[in-house]
Amino acid sequence: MTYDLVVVGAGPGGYVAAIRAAQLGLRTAVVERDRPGGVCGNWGCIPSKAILSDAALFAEMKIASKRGLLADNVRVDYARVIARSREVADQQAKGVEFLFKKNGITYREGVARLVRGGVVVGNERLEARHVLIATGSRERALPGLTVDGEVVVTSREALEVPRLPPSAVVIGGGAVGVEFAYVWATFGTRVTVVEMAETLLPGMDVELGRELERVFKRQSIEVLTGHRYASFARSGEGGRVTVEGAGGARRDLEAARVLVAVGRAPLSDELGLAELGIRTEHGFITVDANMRTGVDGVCAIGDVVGPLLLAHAASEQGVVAVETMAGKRRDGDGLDPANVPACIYCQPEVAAVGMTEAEAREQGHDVRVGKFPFRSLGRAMAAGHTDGFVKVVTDGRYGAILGVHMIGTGVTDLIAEAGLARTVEATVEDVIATVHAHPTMAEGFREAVLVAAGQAVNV
Amino acid sequence: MPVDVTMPKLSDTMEEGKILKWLKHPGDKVAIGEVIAEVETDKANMELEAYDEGVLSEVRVQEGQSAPVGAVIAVLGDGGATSKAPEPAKSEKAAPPPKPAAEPAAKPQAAPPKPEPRRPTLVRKEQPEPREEEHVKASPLARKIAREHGLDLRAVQGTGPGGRIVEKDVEQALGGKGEPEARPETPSRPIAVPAGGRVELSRIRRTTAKRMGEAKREIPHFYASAEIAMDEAVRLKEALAALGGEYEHLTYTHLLVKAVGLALRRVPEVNGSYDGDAMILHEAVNVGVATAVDDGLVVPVVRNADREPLAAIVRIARGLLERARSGHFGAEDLSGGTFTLSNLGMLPVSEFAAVINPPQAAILAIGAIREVPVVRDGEVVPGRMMTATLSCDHRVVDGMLAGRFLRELKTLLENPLALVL
Repeated sequence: MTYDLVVVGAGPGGYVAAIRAAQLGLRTAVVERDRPGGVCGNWGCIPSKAILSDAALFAEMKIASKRGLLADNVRVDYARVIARSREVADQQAKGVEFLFKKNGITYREGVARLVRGGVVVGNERLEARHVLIATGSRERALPGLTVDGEVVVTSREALEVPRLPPSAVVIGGGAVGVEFAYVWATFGTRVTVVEMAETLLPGMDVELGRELERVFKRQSIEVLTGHRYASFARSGEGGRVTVEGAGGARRDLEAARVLVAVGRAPLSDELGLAELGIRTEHGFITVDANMRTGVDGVCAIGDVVGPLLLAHAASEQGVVAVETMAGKRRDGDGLDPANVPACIYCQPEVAAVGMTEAEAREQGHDVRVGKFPFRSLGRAMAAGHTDGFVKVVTDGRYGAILGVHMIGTGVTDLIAEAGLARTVEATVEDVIATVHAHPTMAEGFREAVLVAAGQAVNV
Repeated sequence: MPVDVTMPKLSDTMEEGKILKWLKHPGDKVAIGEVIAEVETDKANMELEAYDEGVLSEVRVQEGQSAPVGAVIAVLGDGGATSKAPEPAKSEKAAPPPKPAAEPAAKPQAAPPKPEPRRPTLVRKEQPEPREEEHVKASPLARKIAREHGLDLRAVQGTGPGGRIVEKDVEQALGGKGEPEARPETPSRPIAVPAGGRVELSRIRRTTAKRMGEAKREIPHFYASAEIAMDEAVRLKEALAALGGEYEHLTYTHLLVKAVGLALRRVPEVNGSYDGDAMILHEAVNVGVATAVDDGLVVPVVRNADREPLAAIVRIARGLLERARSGHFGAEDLSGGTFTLSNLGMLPVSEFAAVINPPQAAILAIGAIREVPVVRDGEVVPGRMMTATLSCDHRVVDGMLAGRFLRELKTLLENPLALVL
């Protein structure tokens, strides 16, 4: 039997693509070497959010007495936190398996290798008119830092080890690094975050990283920006990380645990891509706007094509690829990265969509920035969530909203409105004309737009 | 007190209007709001309503003639002697310089100014005009940019969700920074069009404009489509092309010319022309192939497409194409066609309906071969489908004939061995 589509990888890109293909009447199979759900469901987004929610709740409990909410002896059973996180991950995997069944999608466990006209899984050959590579990525390693799962860990081990370390060094101040730094610090670990760039969250608007650093310091997290990892040695129960600051100044950091969170590398080397003539760049598969590799019948999506490395981007790219195969999508009608939001779930949360202020200036826009601090918002004050702000980057010529950058409680949900505004190409006037309920955190977006338009009301 | 009726200006681009028909004639009484003439503009056919009452005393522009905007086309008298009109019937002399649309009709200097001059009204004869940008799907940002540049969004092609016009499309229409879409290979270079402005039409383009306008106005078109499974034809074409030799340059157009030739032989009534009270049935089956060239559109003709073997059609069509592209075709190459084939399958066109190439009775429009799920023996399987749409002159070709032609075409393409035998 020949499949219309074989998807390699059952992560958020692959499984959504497979379901869309099934909806379009394509005979579809999915090959997965681990479990349905991919990194997102099993080793990333979902289990980490379980732990992060617990940390945020614990943080609120610790300060509750200041608000007259008295509870004695609040402690954490970290093993239970980890266990619940795993339960959530298991449910996710089952949920995806159920969706495969429901949509009549064939599911195969194993490692797939691409061949002309299909894939080979073990001894089985699956003939396919189209193959969609959605193999994702793995944690990137650093030289001299061998992951042992106890002292040196990546996010994957960190989600499973049920013991809370007394101290930790987090190498990398990106999304993964700051989330674990927040979790561990909240539960009582002494944490140091080391970031090579000048601010936390490199790649995002610099004001977000600065604000997060300010709040982190208050949460007793040490932040060493402008420092690079130099070397590592085991010492006693833990290890010693040597970092190098500006001008070559070295510093040793002792810790019971070292988290390596320096990005992700594509999983593309075992697929047999070269034999088929599929091109890669630093391991990331090269694709066009419709996610086609240039080799007939082979598309690729998600982390393995980079550079977005976001579950929701992978899902949408999967839909683009499948609809293109089915002849339902125009050439060039792909995913616009400028409309893909990015979210980070420590507290305060961080979320952004579109251009940073620096990017907008670089591209020669008539940049008008509006920034609104949550401390000026009634709802934020009432809830005691006054950290952070909303920053909008607009173009003065036509009032286009170029980018929105938020840090604060609940902003990972608030960013959806900014995403909609970007997608429908709403102008500042449209946002201003949109009545926002009072009192809500969502008012912050409109207020920031008012500031950009020179019509600020509450600041 | 005679009043001049002038040619009103309807759109920014309208420079002249053509009187299609006078509905009132000298001596007829005319009431306010009554339709006195049908006018053809560059946008549509309109009805010209009277804005004054009186008696039509003089018609200065005859049916079929054009007059510039602002020119006096008729004179309304008060019912006295029609010869009261002072001006001699020379429209050139009477025509004042063109005026903007909002100007009231020019009046003879002798006439005292009316207290409230009413404006000539033009009413669209066919569908109502979409109100401003109301019915155009466009993003707020696109609307705003268009408004500030005075760009008519109705002329912009939308590429956003559901065909919505987005910023990129407007920027592109303004000749701005929007990056152009990756263009599929088109059969010829597009004419370089400066942003905005007026481009003189090439001779070919003028002829096409005139003929297509007449054809679409005169001929009562109707359209019939058929979905044709092209799996076998694709296989055959690829197999033949792989053979090389005389089939080295075989294209789907060649296969289609042959298939159309044979189908016309089997349904000869479609291979004809309307001629007043008669229908002319052509003995020869000469299939023209609509071909884009630098200057516009030409239709080189493959003679005896029903009798020539496929290999010969490949050779003939290639020769025609080369001569058409280089502009060195002979009179023979472009004449004698009895039917036209228009194939846009090399572009992402799923289907379209073509305008008949008069005096022929029909034209076949071919869309792209698409990979789609199809139901075969109760199972959904992948298939390659192509939509063929026949435009017919209903004066000589009826639906039944169109259907029979499409049935033959479908049979031939789905069992394409007949094309090489």
